[in-house]
Amino acid sequence: MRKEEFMRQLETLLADISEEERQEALAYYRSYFEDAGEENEERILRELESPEKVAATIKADLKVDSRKDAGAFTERGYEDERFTKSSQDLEIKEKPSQKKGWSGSDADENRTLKIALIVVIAAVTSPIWLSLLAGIASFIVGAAGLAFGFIAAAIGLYIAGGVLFGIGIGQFAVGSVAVGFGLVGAAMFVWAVAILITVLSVWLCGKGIPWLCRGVESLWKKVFPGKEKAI
Amino acid sequence: MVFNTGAALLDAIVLAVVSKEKEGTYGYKITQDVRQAIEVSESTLYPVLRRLQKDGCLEVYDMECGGRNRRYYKITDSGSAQLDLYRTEWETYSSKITMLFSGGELA
Repeated sequence: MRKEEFMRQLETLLADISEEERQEALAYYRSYFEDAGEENEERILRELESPEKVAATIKADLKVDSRKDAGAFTERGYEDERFTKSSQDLEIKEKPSQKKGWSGSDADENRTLKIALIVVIAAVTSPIWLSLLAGIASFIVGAAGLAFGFIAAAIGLYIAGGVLFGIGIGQFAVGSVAVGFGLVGAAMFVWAVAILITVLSVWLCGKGIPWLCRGVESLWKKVFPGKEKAI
Repeated sequence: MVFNTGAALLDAIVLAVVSKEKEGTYGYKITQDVRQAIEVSESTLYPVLRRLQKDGCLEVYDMECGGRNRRYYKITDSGSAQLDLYRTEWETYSSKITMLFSGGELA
């Protein structure tokens, strides 16, 4: 990149600051290149890295006037939190305005652009997220089925226990006492299992399913990290 | 460099560099002079100079030089006062640290 190109890009990047600040900054860097001489031009361009970085440095200082929160010089060079955080945003935001030049309605156009972008992305990735949604839906239905199965099993076991208990009592009266004890014992065991399953299904409905939902949610976030923020 | 240079120290260094030139000096030269003491990138000093100018510590004027305008920075009275304050602060600060480093007792 030549210095003319650099200055032109810097001017475009500074389109959103006041006329006075822009002219000041441009005058400084124009003069800087001239004072450095052509033999130093390449080195300076390399050290300035990019018009985006220079523009971000200028804007970072305009935004926060107090020098207390400003950056510091470290062994890795100048470090400024405001700048490192916003440099990526700046680059993304400023690419479109570079083409638009001096138009004032950047915000509106950016909005429309973003919505269009979301629609396009949604359409292109539909095979992925549709099958993902279907997978999650079937997962939830499966979990509900499981819970229903548990409840049905518990009810069945209660009834079976009742029947065994009835027959056992009958055996006390008409048959052998030993068989009666055996059957009543079996009935107790069946009830115990039924109670266990009841507790399990209550837990499943109260905690297990919400836990599964949260699991699915966090999985979703892992697959699409920071989707909302990125768009 | 291991030690960080905070914003105030950088202001002080820039003010000191500019104050050496009675007739004023210009951006490129300021950067090269500051670089004799600390590592700064070419893009670091513009915001500093601009801020010092807004704070009234530096004044700016354009002078014809070799067929074009060169932008000069010159220290103002309030800039000199600020620099004196920085010098005093630095004297106290650095002598205490030096004392600690050399293993002596603080007075």
